Amino acid sequence: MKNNKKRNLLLSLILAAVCVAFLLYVDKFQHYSMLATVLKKGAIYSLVAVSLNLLNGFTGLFSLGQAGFMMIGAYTYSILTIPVAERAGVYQYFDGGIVQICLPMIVGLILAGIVPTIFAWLIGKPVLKLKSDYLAIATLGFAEIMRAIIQWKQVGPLTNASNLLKKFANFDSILFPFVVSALCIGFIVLLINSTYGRAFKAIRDDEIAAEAMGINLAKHKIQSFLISSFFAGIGGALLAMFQSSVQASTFTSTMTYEILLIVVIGGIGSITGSIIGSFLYIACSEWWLRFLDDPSSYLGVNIPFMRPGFRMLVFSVVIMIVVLFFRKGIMGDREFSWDGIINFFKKIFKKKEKTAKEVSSQ
Amino acid sequence: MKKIIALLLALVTALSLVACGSNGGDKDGDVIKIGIFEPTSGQNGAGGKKEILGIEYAHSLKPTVTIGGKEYQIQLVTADNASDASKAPAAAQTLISAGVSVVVGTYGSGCAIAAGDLFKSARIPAIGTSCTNPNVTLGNDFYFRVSYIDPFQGAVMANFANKEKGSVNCALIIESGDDYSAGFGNYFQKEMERLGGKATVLEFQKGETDFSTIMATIKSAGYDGIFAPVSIETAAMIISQARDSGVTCPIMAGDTWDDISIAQRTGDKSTDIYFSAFFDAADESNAEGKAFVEGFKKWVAEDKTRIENNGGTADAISSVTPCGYDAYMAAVNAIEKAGSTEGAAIRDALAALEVKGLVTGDLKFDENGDAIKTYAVIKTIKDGDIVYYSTYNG
Amino acid sequence: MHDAAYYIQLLLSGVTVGSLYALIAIGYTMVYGILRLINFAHGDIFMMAGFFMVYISAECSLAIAVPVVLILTVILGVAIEKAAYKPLRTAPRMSVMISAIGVSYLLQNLANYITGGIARAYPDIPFLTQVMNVGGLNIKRITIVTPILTIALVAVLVILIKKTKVGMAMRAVSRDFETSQLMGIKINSVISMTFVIGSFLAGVASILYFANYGQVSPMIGAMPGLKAFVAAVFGGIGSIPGAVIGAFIIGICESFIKANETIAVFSNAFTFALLIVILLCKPNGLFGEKLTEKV
Repeated sequence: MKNNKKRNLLLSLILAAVCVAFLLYVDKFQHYSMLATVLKKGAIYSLVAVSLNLLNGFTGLFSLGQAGFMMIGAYTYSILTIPVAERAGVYQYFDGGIVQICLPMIVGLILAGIVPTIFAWLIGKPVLKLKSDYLAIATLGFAEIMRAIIQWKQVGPLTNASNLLKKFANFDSILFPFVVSALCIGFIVLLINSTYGRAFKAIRDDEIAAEAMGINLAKHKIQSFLISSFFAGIGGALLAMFQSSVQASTFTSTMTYEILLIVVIGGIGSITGSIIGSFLYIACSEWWLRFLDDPSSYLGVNIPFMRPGFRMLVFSVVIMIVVLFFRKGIMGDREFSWDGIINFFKKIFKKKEKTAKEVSSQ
Repeated sequence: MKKIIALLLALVTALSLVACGSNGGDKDGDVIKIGIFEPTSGQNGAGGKKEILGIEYAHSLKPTVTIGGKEYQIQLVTADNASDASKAPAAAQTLISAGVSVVVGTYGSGCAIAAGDLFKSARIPAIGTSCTNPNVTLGNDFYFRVSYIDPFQGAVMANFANKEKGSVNCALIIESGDDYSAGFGNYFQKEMERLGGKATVLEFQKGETDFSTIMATIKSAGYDGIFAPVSIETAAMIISQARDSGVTCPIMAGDTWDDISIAQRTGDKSTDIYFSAFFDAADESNAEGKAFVEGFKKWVAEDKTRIENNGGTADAISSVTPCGYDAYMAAVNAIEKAGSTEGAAIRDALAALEVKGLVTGDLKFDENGDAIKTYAVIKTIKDGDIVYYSTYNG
Repeated sequence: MHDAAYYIQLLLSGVTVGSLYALIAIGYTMVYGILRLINFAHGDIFMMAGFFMVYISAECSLAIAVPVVLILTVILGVAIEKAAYKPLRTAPRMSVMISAIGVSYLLQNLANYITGGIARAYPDIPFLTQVMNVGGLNIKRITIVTPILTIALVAVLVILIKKTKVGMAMRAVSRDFETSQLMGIKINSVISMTFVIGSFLAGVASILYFANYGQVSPMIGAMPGLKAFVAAVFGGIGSIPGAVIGAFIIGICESFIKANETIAVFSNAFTFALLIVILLCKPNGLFGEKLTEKV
């Protein structure tokens, strides 16, 4: 057993080193390639998907407010990190705005997590009393209300109303979103494996039984809600950096649905699943399936139905197939582990051996 | 079984990332890519398609470019920004990743502003077609523009409204959060106030379909003119709902309204409509313009899709089409002059570029990267057709 | 500062919008009452009905197009239920809701693909869009027709549910799904019937709505759909008169909020604020029946 642990640690370190080397290579030689775009966006979506999964998959709270918390995070970050000299240009309809400070990137990023958490705390107590679908629609509504408030002219000096925010501090290296996402996801993994995580899962599986076991429902639900909002906020800030501009109209309920579908594809209740799902979703929608939108001919055959929009259509059909027939998604509720992989290969190997033996004996 | 599928999927993902990554950055030897950054869907999709037609027509006339004695094929790469500033960055990323040398577009300033910084940081020059907000090029030395800008257009329309139409107390209908709408409206309002008139802002939200409350306000407050710098789709709704609710004052707007689909959709409700435009197809005094009109009509008539994208007719020419044409020609000229496919070199060539005899006149960029333009056409809608009304030459 | 005509105009436009929400809300409230499912795709069925009209009316006259559109909408609604909800009947509620979101996503992308993402002009229905001048007010005939038609349809529906056998079966199923199954009620046909009624009303609403605004675009269904759902919750989910009254209140409030320049930005958010308040204060809505949570 102890041997396994050592081996797994070694394998993990090797994998991490390979990943870092790969990222460094992409960063250096393919900075503007589609690959870099997909990696950056995939890393950001992984974080957001995992944060939603913590709520939907691990605590069983069906929340549809994720885009709202991302928006608050994105706005907090961008408002606080626009250089003072640029503010007059950005807030051109509001005389440069009322915030006249520029915080360092890291401070901005942390605040981008804290501010949504405060909002989550304010609404959490009443809203979390609601049951499944009412909770979904109430959090969805909350996101819409926040969007309207940000777009309100009266708070324009703070949020620039519905105009773009830009020129804020940004990352250049593609390692940045990876490091931030990895740290955050790492924290969530630790949390899930702690007593808190077990309590969350107990609530998900059976609220009444969990309560009977002495788990404080309200306390744990709000904890999960706050933590999820914190990381959604950081994810939102990363997304803002990725786009290098922020506008409230980006963060509609469609965005929440998109993230929810990623979680479903990856497997509700699996962190690894959410991460794989994110990269797969982003890579397919931004890159691999792009050719479906192109009406030009393939191998000399002109395919008339391939025109803009076809990609998203194919994509949504695939999603429906996953939702209906592969309800567990890619990973179900299992996680990636070296033991699992090694056992898996051992099994295949043994099977082959067995069949080979059978063949030879015949 | 499922386990195997899951693992295979993960493996394929990882492998193809590596595989695609290794050949993703390659540029083919004799091809240079020009990116088309335009909306082909969403609120301004109809306009974006017409601008692309202009670009494609120009491409059909000049499909190659010579750099250092070697002939390069020009390949057009299109990305749809969906007329939405929030989707524009993703479209811009697509073009940057595709390795384009220069970008042409877009219709609607909001998308141009949202994507401008991305082009700048990737050091790819962009040539704006009909995005008229000054902030597109201001503070961004990689964004250029072939059309006139809003301070000019706003002043032209305010003068027109105030002096020619006698609208001294205008309602200004603006889409909140849209840079084009807010910017253009702002300049209109300033000039209107300078002329001693008044313009009151009435805002609506993105995606709004019901303007009856705004019309009720206009009727009740007795405004004598409407100025509505909004998208094509919204335009049709504003016109028909205004006339339906008995608002009879002149409705004025800017370059976005030069689109036949507005006239088609509103039918006989389109009365007393005026808007500024870049170009008048019926103007025969400009030889290049005349040649363009004739050639373009013929080119559109050749193909069913082109006719459909041009609004179902080969005869109408929106004034954004020549903008697309001019921007493409400027790009090709700059590439030739730079003698390089590198973005930074093309940018420098653009900054010093001077092209004579384009469709909307001679082209030279000022220190902000804006074309120096002092000419605007005002058009109106008559019997379901867009026709010339007057010319402004300042 | 404004005259009476102004306020009457606002009220009228609120009533029109409200009655359209009402027609859509009935579909939500009935489906929720029976399946405990928020049919997120309902707003998109409404949108698809608009596109059916655009394409069918291009081929034949309005007299044929209107019934054909209604039939197609009903078929679409029932097909969605059979394909996307029925296989998940025993699955957890979250899965069914995700499936509904997936269908909504699919329909939007389908419409986007077919139209190329551009709004299409809705055929002119002269009977509805004619403008009349009543006492200095310009009123479209649709403004009068919509509330009357809505109330008539609702009356018919209430009679159907109270007096007929199908209606009784529906009430039974919504009260207790499993017991009614044991009592010999054909659950599947009852559910289909619910979708038939809901989609039919959404089809009617789409004709009135789009004839009024003149164009259909792929994303147009989402907002009216959500607002109609809020109306259904507001009135008490499962209660048809409740949904109608909720819809009228939302429509009228919205119209007055839009008219006030300072708070116009909240015209959509207001609906959700109302929802949260009602959920917290009176979770069963205005007319909802109290349900006890079973263990």
